Amino acid sequence: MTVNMLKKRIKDLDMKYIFKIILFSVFISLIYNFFREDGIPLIRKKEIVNYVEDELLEDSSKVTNIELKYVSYNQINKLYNDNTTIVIDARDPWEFNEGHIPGAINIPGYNVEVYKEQLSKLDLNKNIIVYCSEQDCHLSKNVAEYLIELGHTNIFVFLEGWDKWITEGGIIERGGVDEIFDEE
Amino acid sequence: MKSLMKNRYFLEINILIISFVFIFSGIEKIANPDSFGDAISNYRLFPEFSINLIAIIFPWIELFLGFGLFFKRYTGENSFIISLFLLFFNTIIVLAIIRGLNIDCGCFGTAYAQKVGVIKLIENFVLLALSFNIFLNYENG
Repeated sequence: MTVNMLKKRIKDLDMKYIFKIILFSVFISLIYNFFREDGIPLIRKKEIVNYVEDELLEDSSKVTNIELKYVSYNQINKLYNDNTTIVIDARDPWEFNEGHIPGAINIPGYNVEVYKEQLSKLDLNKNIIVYCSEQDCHLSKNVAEYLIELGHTNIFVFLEGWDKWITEGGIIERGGVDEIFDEE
Repeated sequence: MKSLMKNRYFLEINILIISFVFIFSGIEKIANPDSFGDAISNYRLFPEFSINLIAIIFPWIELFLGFGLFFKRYTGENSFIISLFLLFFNTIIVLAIIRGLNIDCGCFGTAYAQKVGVIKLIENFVLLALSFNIFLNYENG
């Protein structure tokens, strides 16, 4: 009964309407994206990553963030061993709880503006490393760009992120987001 | 059970729930296309060049389908496309779970982070059942 009913329902569908509603949505969405202030490019391009030069890491005060600075796994260790460096994990809280770089704080990169208060408390003179899951993840860049907006100048994005940290056998710390913020 | 599925009031509630979910999620995604693009990218299923196009166009389709259903215009057609969408969402969530991806589902844009997992899958199956019921049993007029 249901199969016949389903067949009949599908047969009765107005395909012209389906075609029209999709075409109309495509048209409106493209027009809206074109005119909106924060419209995005139609085609997302793979970014070419230029890692920061090693010499700059020796004296990171020379680094000024006009554009994002990327660091590799080897470079991150140089910064990480400096006790003044702050590490930010831009992934979701549940991923952070399952494991993160020791000492990292969790600032999820989807709605980074929500964390303005916490981010404003960070010392402007300190180096900050931001990371998320892996190369295609944009969350670390969202956080880094927001920190630059807030006036930070020594921001480094560890683009290969958590996947690389695990692969290389980096130390893992587990724990709740609230605990980490309480420590702050 | 059969009579409940065909019950007019039950069907009206189904329509309200599904249309609200689609209108709300469409608006959330339209508000933050860049973040929604990131959420799509996290599934690692779609080619890089297509991510932004999906993030721009898809939420508007959701929005219009939601409004169409709410105002009971072409209810059969709207609920049919919505059911296909929900089936597609469930498929990519299952794939994400199988591949062990620990990501935000991006279901309501990225304003309300919801982990991809069994609970999300159950939620979506309930929505799929409701929209399919509308498609199968709702008679206009």
